[in-house]
Amino acid sequence: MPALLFKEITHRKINFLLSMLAVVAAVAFLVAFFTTSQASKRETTRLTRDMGFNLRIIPKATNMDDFWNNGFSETTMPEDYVLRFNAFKNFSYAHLTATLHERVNWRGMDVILTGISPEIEPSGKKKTPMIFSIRPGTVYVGYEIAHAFDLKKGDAVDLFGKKFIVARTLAENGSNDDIRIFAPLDEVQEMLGKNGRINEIKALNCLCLTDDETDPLEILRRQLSQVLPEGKVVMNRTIAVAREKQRRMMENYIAMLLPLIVIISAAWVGVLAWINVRERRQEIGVLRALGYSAGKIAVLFLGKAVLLGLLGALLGWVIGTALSLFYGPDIFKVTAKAIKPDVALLLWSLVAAPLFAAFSSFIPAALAVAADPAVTLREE
Amino acid sequence: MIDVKNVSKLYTARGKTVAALNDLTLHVDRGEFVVVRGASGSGKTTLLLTIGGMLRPDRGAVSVAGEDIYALNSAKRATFRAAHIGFVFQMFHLLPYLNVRENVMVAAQKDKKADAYAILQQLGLAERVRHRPAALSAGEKQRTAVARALINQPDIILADEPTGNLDPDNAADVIERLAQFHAAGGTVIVVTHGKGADKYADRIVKLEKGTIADL
Repeated sequence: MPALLFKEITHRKINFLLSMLAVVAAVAFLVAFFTTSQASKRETTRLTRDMGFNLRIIPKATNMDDFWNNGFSETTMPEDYVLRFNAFKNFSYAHLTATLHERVNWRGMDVILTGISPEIEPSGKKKTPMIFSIRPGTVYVGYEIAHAFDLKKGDAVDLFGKKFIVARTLAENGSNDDIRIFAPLDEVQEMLGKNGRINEIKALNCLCLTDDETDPLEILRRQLSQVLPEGKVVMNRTIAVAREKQRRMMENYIAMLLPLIVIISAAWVGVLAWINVRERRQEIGVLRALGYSAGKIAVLFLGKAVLLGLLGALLGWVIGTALSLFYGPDIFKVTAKAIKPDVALLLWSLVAAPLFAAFSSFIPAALAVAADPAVTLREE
Repeated sequence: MIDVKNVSKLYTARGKTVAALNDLTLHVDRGEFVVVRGASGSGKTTLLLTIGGMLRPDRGAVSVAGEDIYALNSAKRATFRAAHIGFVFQMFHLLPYLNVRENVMVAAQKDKKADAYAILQQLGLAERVRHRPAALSAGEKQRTAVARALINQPDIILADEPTGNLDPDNAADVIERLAQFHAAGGTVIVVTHGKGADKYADRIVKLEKGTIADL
């Protein structure tokens, strides 16, 4: 049987190559599509993440007029509140950072002194931090401050009697970050005499639990009340909505294209299988006359389809991956390094493509086997 | 050896039903050489395919070597056909991607490599074993088809116009091969318009409108 299969394939190379081309094209497209979709998702996540934290958890007692006027809460809460999030999994809060802000006068200039702690990730997943991690004894200086005092990286500065080294001067941001000095949380707490206190936890809505029916803020507030009844959450809807819309757009885009590609490829393989079967009607009749059962003949056709699927999957994966690796980094510049060959896609292709090719060939093969030999064997 | 009892096979085309075989009854003894004649559309090929277990009749029964072949399931009928029946067709129907030896072997039930060689040698094809059908003459193609029909040492050969595409010399040669099989005890039913087989025939059967007109 295998010899018969391979000899027929080599005899009708063009049909086989065209059929394989259909599978290769479908697999290559899907592999490239999935690989770049993942890259696109990563890029979207990264770009929207870089828009900044969209959630601010502040003490419940905060006066909101003052909060919006000052840009931060005047009320403080214990720092260890942030640790409460650690115990929760599948949570809508990500990238939690405890912060303490206070408006201070430094060298005659009104600046905001901000202490930041390393990030906490409730999901337990390893994520790239959103915010810089400041080493002890160093500060990051906002653009306007650096510009006003001609500060450069490596300069020594005095902050309320404590020496710090400028680890970085920040680029112009167009927000009050330009008049901010960032330092490690514990050192800011010490300078301000507010040990163990914070006035804000910054976070990012990970959109893990949102759906179309529920307002995400409702979910966030419900979850927060479980973890931190002493706090309340404020959401920057512009950023949150942009993130969500972008993500949904990608999901809808994939949901629309995927069936379209599969249907076109199935039709292509099916038509070629049909042509192949039409060409081989007499052969099928002869094989039946020679004692081949309908099942054996069907295996011959489906075996060819499976082989077609396996080769198509392998070649398609290689081409799709090569295209993604070649063009992907130009399109997704921020996360370019994350574009890598996806072995899981190869395994999926090796399973799905033969099944898909066999399914496309099944109806023509079944009809051919059922064809009346009295008709086919008299055809010239 | 072969019992065809009250067999009918109907075809419907453009709303019209035509009986390719119409309540046909035929008995063929073991070792008999039967020639079947008839006009186009008289049901000759349908009869041959029905006897060969290739075409289930709408009515009636077909028994070959004591086996009611349409009582068998498709797979068992295929095995039975391979073991007991050899087919020879007018259009040769060799597989274009196999060479002569492979075309014979494709029908072999078990490893018949030596037999294939011996049969091909007897049929004058020893030098052509590695050639594909496209490189063969019509006579060589039909002799290959005869070799294929003989490879499993069947009890019966069913030949449908085996000389229809051959020149007189090759036609005579093919009939001679069938006669040799018959002489060795085989049963032959040959559908033919030519007269070449008449001298070997134990019986000539004429079909008309799906039924036997003359014995």
